[in-house]
Amino acid sequence: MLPLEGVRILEFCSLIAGPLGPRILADHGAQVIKVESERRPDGFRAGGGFGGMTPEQLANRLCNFNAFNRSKLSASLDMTHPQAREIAYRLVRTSDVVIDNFSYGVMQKWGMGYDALRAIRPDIIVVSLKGLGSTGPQQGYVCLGPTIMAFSGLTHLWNFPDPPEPVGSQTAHPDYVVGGHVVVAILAALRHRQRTGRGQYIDVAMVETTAALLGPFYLDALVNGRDPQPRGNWSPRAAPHNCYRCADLPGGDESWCVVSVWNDSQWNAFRQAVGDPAWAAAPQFATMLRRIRHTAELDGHMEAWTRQHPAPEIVDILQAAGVPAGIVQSGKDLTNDPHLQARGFVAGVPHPEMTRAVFYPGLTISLTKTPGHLRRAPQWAEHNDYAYRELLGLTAEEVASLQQEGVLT
Amino acid sequence: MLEVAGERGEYCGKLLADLGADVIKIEPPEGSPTRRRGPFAADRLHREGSLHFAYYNTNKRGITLRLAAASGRSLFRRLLAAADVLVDGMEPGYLEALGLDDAALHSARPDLIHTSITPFGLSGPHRDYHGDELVAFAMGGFLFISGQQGGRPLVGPGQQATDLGGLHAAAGVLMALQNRPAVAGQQVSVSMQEVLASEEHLIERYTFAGTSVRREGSQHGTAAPGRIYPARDGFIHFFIAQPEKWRAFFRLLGDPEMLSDEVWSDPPFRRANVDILNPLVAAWSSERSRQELVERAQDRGLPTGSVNAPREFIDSAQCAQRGLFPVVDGALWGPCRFPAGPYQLGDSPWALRHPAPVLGQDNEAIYLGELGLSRAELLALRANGMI
Repeated sequence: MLPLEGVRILEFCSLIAGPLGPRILADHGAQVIKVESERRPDGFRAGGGFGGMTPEQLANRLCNFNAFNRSKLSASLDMTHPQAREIAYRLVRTSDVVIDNFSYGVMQKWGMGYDALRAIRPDIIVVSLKGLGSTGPQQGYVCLGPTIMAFSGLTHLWNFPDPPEPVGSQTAHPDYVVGGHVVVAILAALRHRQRTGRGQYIDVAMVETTAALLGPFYLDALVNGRDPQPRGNWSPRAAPHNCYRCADLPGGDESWCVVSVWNDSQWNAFRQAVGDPAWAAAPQFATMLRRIRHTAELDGHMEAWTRQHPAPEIVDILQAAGVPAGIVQSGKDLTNDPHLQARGFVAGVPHPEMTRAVFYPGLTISLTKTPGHLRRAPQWAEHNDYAYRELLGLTAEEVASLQQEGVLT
Repeated sequence: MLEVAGERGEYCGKLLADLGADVIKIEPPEGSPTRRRGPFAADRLHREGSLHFAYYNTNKRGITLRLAAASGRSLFRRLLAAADVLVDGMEPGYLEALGLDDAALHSARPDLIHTSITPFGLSGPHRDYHGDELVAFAMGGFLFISGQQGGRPLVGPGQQATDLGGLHAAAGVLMALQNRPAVAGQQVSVSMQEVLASEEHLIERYTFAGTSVRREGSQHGTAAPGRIYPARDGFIHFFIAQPEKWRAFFRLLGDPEMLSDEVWSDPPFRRANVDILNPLVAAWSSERSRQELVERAQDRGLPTGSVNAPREFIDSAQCAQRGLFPVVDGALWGPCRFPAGPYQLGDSPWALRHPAPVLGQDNEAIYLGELGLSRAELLALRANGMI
């Protein structure tokens, strides 16, 4: 038995931030029906509004689609068609949760706002996921993960101290942060409904979930009136604590490792593990406070040593001695990581439209008695029969006629 | 819920406590190590002054208990008997080494949900690796792609891996609660490495294309413009992908001759020619204020954000109107504005019912009131350094 069997979610989402939460729930047994139209397909569907793509690039997008929509069902419905609303309402009547991450106002325009949905199913849980939230002067702002990173202060802080321009990050990190929070919010609302009989409206702002992981920085500003500054890889409480260049790998690829030393016993273990070189015995490195004060000098010595060995060798030596250390792993390293492989984390999820074998990250939440499982992403409209005939009880003729009239496209 | 946790379990406990769970945080008598984490209120190093601790322990109750001692563990078993969930942020094997393996936990409470957040999970060859935020960032593949092109990899601010671990663990707890009573107790576990390794399609892209994503500063993999650009008063982030977005952006730029060829509306072409594109965008944006750029671009539906300092985010009109930083009271340093919950649940909204616990604040209520110890027993526990 999967934990979320019996929960049905209607998803009106695109790309990563919206689809990820329902996908995690689907991996653990929720039935997620992804509703799309040819007019407005998921952005990762081939042709999802991105022109000029080579077949290779389109295939890559399909690979992303398979990653963020696995374990779900697919139904097509063009919400701009006058007959679509009644069909959507009938789907809502059979569902527990409706979620969207379209721009502000799109669902309302379709008659799918919370008040309308509550009128047809009073205990419905509605999640409205927007960049900056569904209220406020900037409710209509269009935001992707990197935009959110900028607004929240995360980009400003993701830097070394002092350089003129923030390094920031090329990633869409907030998309993933919001995905996990959506899962928690939906599960909490389901529990609230079990106990009170009431559904509710959940207003999720991507920027607020991202901000939730920066709490102490904001409190430093609010309580102490300070402007928190970036601090690179350094820690105010540990030294050495940095990322170090290692000897290049046999093929000529760069390699890097991290080392963090949190107390004097780890420092002593480090010294022993590296053969107790003379520099490490210097008085300015004898205590944590002194190492922190002389970090630049310490890092120089550290890197002179790490440059002589490939990262995997360094990490083996230091881990065996009880010192926190890690390889800076590339995508290739992750895919081949013996630990991730042994845990079954690197997973194949074959999809009929994928022309080659691609591996994906597996489940991030492990439950010993009711583990989740992965099924491939649905093909376009693959589950129309299930959604419209089995769930709504339409006849084959009715479905065919809706198709013909352009409602189910 | 009981939370026996250093830093790794705190966000999981906070999420659930903020949703109304009665989370009892169990600290050693000398206090959780996270009480020593800065920043501190008024920069005073004080056990009750850590703003880090204040943030990550909202709405929890707090007791002290020395788990390393046998008599401490017998009290712990009694606490377990009344608990639905144990949040465990200790090293893998820590509780087992104290005789509190899963069999022992479940004999104290048969339907207990035992949740752990560890750097590498509870199985596999690296299970016992020594890890922290930085190590998880490295081993999870995120460090390799973070930093300037060709430069030193750069870890993200705060404790992203740790908190994402806690976030997924909280989701796992709620799933396991959903299973009860049909499925009694079980173990929920999350690996910080895996939570990061599930971001940014790192495994997919490598197995698809045979090459790894590399560091490139803030430059996005496919979008161009898709990075940080200078503004007159700071920095700005543009993300322009689809052809129609490019056309709107081109008009915003003032129809520059150099970019007028239709070929520029092709996203892969623009991405391949960022060395031409970016200086033109930067020359234009650096003469304008962030506010002007954001408003004009957003008016055209272009994803654009100001690179805010934390203070600027706090002071934004959007945060003010949504009440993201309400004034709360109860902390030792007096009333202050405080970050509210990460989502707004209409029928069960976030509230600071009580601030992070003062060390041992609920010892009497829980040991006397709930476990039924006598005052003499409590005094003896205190005298023996058990609480």
